[in-house]
Amino acid sequence: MSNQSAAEAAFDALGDPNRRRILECLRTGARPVGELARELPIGRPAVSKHLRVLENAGLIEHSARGTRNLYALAPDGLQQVQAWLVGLWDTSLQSFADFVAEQADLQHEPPESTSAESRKLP
Amino acid sequence: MTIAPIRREILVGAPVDRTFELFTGHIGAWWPLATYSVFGDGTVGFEDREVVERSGDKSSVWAEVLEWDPPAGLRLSWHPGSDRTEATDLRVTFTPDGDQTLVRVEHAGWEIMSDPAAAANEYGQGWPGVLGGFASFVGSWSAVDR
Repeated sequence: MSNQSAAEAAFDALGDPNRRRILECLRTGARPVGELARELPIGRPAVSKHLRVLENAGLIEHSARGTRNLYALAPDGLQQVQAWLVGLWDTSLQSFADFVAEQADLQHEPPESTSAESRKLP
Repeated sequence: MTIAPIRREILVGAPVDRTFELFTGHIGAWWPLATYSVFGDGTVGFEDREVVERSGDKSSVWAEVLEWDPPAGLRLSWHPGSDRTEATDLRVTFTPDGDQTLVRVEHAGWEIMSDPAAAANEYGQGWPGVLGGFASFVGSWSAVDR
């Protein structure tokens, strides 16, 4: 996944309060699905479904311990979010630099052209 | 683990006074609204002490001005897509570099999002609370592309 779509998957996953609650439960360490289901107002099948969404979004990971799966926070779960933020500011600052360059170009053109372009500004 | 401050910078081709004026006075002309906005088809501008996006009769306040120090910089309480209780801290500084200007952005303050007491408690322990607040912060933005 690209950084953009990975971050969006994370935001989608976090849009559900039960999934945020699952993440809170995992803060203290890895847990099996049955334990998580006991702490949530939803059934075990629903918990399993939410775990799949969280895992696909890169926010958690699971490991097999004997016959059961343990779920834990993914160590790099924040990287995609930080990448999204870096992308936001890089895109915005580059857009600003381009705009400044356009304005400087306009100043070297004949006055009537400059004023016509200036009026386009909101 | 929490979100570290995001620091980005770029050199632009105008003197510092002009750069400050273009950044603040013409944000609607350069901000990439198609990608990063609440409505996707609106305009954005500084209005009094706020940054406001407008589309038709809808509006969304992205930020309040906390410090205004032209042409050196400004500081905003920054919360596009959510309300001011989930604001982050955005500082923009403008430093002369010959005929050009170095624009620096520092975007920080993630720990004050979601419940402040809980966030302070979990600072250094885990990230879901902060990340949950972040999700509501940018969720409505990224929704524009979907």
